[in-house]
Amino acid sequence: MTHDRDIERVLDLWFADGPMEVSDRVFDEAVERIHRQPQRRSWRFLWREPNVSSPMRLAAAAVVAIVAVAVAAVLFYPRLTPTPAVGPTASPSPTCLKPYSDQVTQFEDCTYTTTNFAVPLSIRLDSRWRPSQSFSQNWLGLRVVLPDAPANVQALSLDFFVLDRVFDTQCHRADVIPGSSTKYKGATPQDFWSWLGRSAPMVTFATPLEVSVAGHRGLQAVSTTKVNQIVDACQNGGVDIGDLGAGEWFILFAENPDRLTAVVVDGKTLLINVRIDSGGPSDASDAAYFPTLTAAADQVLASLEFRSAAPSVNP
Amino acid sequence: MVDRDLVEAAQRGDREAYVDLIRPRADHLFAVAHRILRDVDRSEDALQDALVIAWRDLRAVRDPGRFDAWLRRLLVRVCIAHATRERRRSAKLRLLPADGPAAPDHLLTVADRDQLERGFRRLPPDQRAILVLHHFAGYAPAEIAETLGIPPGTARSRLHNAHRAMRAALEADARVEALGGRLA
Repeated sequence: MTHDRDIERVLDLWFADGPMEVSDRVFDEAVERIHRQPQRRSWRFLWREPNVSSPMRLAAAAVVAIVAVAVAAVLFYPRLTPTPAVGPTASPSPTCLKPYSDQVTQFEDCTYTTTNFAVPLSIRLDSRWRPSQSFSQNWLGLRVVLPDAPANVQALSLDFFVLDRVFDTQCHRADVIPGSSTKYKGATPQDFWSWLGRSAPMVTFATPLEVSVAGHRGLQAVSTTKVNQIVDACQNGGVDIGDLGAGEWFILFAENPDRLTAVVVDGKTLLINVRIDSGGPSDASDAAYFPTLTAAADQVLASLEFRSAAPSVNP
Repeated sequence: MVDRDLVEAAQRGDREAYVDLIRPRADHLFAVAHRILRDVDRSEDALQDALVIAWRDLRAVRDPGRFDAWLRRLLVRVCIAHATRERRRSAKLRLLPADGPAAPDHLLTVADRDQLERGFRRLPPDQRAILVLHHFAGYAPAEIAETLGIPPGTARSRLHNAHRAMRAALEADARVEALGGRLA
């Protein structure tokens, strides 16, 4: 047969043959299953901006850029030096102390203290920063748009996660989690990184470096993952690392690098994640920009202090 | 409501939006699954699995405009997994009658289709998927690469290998038939 006909034309004809419609019964069964299936919650999704058209986004970015350039030129750029070490080098303003809230659209130049975050902390922010849209006991997120970001970088995200438990199987399919995940027993950052290396082989981590986070020893590394690797292993775009205890998970997505810092505070594993918040896949300009982003995060982390109790605040 | 809005509504947990989103896509996805798996029951299972997994993981889609590509990729992955399990479970190939209506062309005989069926079932699942994406979905190698998450060069070489394997399988089949005819 193939001597006489081109194999490609034969295959075109052959594949055209066959059923083209699925039965209503099959579709209805799928819908029933969907109604029983909970959706994975992703903290990243909660951060997403409402859909804004490109011209509006550009206009908004331009306005932010003009304002931010003036502030950044004075305060920020002279100190942009990537460093793995972060510590309590900046002093919170004695005149402005406020409770952290995700209800504001933008912070003031002030020191913010958490009142119900699982690891009480204070941190100094300036007016470039915005809160994540959903603050929870185990997740505190901050975002900033820097003036010279590549076009596809929407923001720098700096977030704090307190892991209630980490998962002990690859990819952590929703249907196996209840029976297979365990309470995380790690007591040190080394425990966490050791677990992470075993549990997420599809993610490449640089060798963790020791850092100081507000006087606590931590381990820090940048993760890189190609989307293919995660999809091959997990059939979706992210690998679940830990449960935040409120129906939200910490998911490490592919393509954009993440800088993860693990530190144990009062027996709780705190993950500090710095990442590019882009609308799509990362590219070379993003990678080149990543040190600038991490330096911006380090400027904030330098003011971080862990507190044993919520302080009195000036509303 | 445009699909992008439906995707975003579904990502916020709106099941009805998700059902509206997948309903017009279900037939095509099923047809793709059937071409890879060559079995109605298993194609229906694969489609259902893909639609449920897509709902579960929908929030992993960062660009709603990429939903179709993501869903198609997920379906192909599920089909490859189903086909792999089937190959592991039974090394013996089952020859099933072609499902659905008769062939729309007048060029392929029943014997041609049997040969194609046997040759196709001998291919590894990923090569089956590549052939289906190219010949049924009409994808260029670059689109196949994106769907399967492989480099474009790899997609081209795998497509070439799949064609060669299919041609070799058909020629081997023809030789066996010719030999059988002589022996008879």
